[in-house]
Amino acid sequence: MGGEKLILDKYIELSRDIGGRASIEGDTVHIIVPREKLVEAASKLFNEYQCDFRVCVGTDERPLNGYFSITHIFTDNRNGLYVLLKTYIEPQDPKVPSIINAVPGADWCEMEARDLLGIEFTGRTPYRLVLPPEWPEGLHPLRKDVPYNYRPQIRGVSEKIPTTTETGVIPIGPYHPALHEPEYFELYVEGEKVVDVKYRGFHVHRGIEKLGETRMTYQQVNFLAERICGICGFEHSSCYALAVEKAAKLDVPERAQFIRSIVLEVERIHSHLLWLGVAFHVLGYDTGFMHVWRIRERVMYLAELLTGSRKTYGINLIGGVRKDINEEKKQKTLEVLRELEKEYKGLIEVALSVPQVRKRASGTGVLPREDALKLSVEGPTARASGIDKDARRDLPYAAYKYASFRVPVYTEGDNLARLLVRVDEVIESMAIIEQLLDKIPKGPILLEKYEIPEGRVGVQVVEAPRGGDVHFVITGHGKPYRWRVRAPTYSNIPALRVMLRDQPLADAPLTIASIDPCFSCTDRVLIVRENGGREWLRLTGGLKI
Amino acid sequence: MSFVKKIIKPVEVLVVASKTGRVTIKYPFEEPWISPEFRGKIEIDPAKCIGCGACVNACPPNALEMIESEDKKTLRYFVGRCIFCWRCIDVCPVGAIKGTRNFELATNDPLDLYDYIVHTRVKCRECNRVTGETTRMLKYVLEKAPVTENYNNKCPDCRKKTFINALSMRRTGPVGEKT
Amino acid sequence: MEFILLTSTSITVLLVNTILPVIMDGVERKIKARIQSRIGPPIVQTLYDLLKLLEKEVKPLHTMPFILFTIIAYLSTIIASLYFINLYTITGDAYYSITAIALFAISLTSNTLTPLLLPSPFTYTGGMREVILSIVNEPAFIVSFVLVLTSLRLLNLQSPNIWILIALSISLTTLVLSSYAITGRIPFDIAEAEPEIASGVLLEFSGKLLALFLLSNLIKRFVVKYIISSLILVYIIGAGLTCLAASILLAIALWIIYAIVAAILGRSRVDLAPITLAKVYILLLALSITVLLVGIHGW
Repeated sequence: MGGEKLILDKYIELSRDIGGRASIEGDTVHIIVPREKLVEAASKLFNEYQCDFRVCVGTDERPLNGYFSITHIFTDNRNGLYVLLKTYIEPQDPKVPSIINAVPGADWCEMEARDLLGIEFTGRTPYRLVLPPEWPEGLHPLRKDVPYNYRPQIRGVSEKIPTTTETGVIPIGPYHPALHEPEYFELYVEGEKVVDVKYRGFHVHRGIEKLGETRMTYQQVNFLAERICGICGFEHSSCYALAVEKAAKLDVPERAQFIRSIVLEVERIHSHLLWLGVAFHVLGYDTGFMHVWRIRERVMYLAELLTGSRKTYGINLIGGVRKDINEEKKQKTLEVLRELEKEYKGLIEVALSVPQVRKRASGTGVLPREDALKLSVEGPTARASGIDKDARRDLPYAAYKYASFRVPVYTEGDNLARLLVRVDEVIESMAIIEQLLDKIPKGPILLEKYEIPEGRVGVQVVEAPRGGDVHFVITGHGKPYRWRVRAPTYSNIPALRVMLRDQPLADAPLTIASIDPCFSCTDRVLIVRENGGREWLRLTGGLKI
Repeated sequence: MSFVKKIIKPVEVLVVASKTGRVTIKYPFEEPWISPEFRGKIEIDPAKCIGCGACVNACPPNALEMIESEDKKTLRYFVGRCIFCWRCIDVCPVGAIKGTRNFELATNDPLDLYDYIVHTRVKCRECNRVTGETTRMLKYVLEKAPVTENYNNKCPDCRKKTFINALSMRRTGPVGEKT
Repeated sequence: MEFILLTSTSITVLLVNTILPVIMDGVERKIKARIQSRIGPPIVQTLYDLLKLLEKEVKPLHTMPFILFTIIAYLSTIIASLYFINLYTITGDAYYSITAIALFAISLTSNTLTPLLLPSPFTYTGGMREVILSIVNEPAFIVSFVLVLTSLRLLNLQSPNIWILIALSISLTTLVLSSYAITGRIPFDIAEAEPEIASGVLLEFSGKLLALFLLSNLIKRFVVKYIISSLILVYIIGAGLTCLAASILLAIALWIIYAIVAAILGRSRVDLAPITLAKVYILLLALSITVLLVGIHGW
């Protein structure tokens, strides 16, 4: 207790030194600073206080108080605190200093705020990140005066892939048989060595944040959030529900939190098994791919038994869950897990003994620890480079404080380390599910009556299979006022440039696949329609990262 | 010896394969492998539905819509938008919606995808305009909370007028008379 | 009379031999599917695929006359080499097998040359990988073929000598290994199956051209096994029509074994595979040559 007080005092002291104000709510520290001191505050938080940068959120608060605002979300992993650094911006001339010199991981989210809200960042070179290049200037979709179904007139532009004489160019995507989702990598190769990489994503941006803020109610957004991703959907919907419950200070029944944790772990097992299959397929070991997905089928059947659907579970509501786990289902779960563990261990032993798999995965796609820290990477990518970071243990949510588990950390930082981290995590997830099923308390699973006051802020980080997923909610009237989603792949893709440089071309697909990219989570923008027809986004000359 | 073991290990996958057999199901010639809890299409019982619109409010993708016309209110269920979340079943006050395990819904005729339930609207006895209610909604309310004849066939405006009249009669005489 | 019998038998068997690899590819896919616990496509699926490809149009390529020339050269030399192996199994005359090998080498050159004539970066990368593998595999194949032939001849002439038997087994192993690498199966299908090069050497072909190229690849796979089986069986059984039938059956058996091996391994990388192969070949060939010389000159 005394130690906690000391930490919180330090944050209040920091805000006073900078010249702002601080307030504490639960496990969130709100620090509001004037615009000029933003970089200093961010740099202090990142370096001195060793906070982990997660995302920055731009908000149009003009209907509320006449300003724009930008909130930088940090988490203090060692003390389990969320630190929100906020500043207000004049609406007539929205300029704010950029923090990327102090915190390099803030690059993308600042550009997203610039594209979608029109906030200019001084002290850096801007570029268009999220919106397509033909998008009209001055039209910022997330501003409150732009209706959600407004369609601008756009003419598509197609450009040629640049060909230089010094290096060859290998374009991967947006339509490529190796990829499962549209993304565009331009690899510059000399012979068989990759010398540079350009990335352009955001081809599947669907306007989810705008939808959640305009035409959905609180309970309906759960189902929308689940469909942000096809593999890790449940953790998005849990994260949203937890964020709103934190903002409204709702007392969710314990049994519901246990059920949420159990289903989250089931999702983690299915996601890692999927990734293992894909990794084996990329390495040419199709037999491993087929067998891993065969045992994954049992997990999908289990998920269907527990929740009603193989993937988009649809059991999360604000205030709890909709479906209960009775004694019969609990026994079935334990039986399935036991069989699964035996088969899984045998299969992984065989698969990792194939010489090609071992040789190709080790020593390739190395991400050194310093780069990983600078870019604030998430999840197994970070844990394979020696960073001990796991939101289930550092910022405990749902029922994780009742389970004891190990967080696997490897230090080599190559593809094999990322593979082994995920292999270990599956075993740990099975142990967590068994522990939670043992300890689950009796009681209701859904809050009957609750009220959500307006104007409250809730932030929640949930450890998705790919890393920490952040949801930021400002409550409004009947629906969220601002909802920001940051998927873990968002932070991991800029690390690809470091991993792919000076590596042989043959390792590129495995390296790209090893961060477990989930591009549906990363992009959340609009599909451009032209006069009712569908038009695909054309390529531009690549984007500087 | 361990070198030989290292060579032999990948061959163990043959053992694994022979133990598991073939797992492919020859769907659609065999039954699909779905659990008893699977959520499929919903079916609305036209006899029970009262046309209250609670399901329309709760439906996330707007697969259920209420279409209002002069004298009818139609509940339309469009399978094309349904995400099979079964929220409508949760919120229906009379339990008129039933969930099935049917997911094989492909068809050549797009009109097959729409289900319609038509309700007649109640006309106000006094001013003869339609209220927001349907006849069945009225019956449902009357069963739960009996209301006198004076109020139950009127639109909200006429109801207000009747109430004010009755109140004023009881206290100070007709409205507009100063005492 | 005998000449007519010979030619007609060879041509009939030739027709069978061009259809057989297609059916065997279907069998291989079934075996792979069974190892992966699934049902897999029907055995005649490859035949259906080729027939469907023959109906489709060909997308015009810049260097069309050269591409057409190399593909026709590939197909014709591989079928011709097949014809000569048939003759070898019927007559037992070693010159037929040497002609077959020579034609086979020409066909491999055409095969490797084709993707390098196309301008796409994917095809070019795939083609260079194929070149690297060919530089390692072809010489090993030819040298081990010569060693096996020589050892078998020596065993015929002299009494069984233990050294020559050892040399025979080592060079036979090298022959089998290099033949496996030439067939372009996992772990050596680097030129066409790597994800980043999006089908590599096969990318620019379409329609009838692709059908011819794939058919030639399949016949190449068969020829490589047929050479081995004919060498062994002509020595054991003696030439003739029974030898012909038995060689084809042994080639089919080898195909099934190769299919099983391919299903349990992963794909190697363009820098790992040639180096490992080169080391193994040099070691084995040096060993077998030494042992053979010892066997010839006595100890």
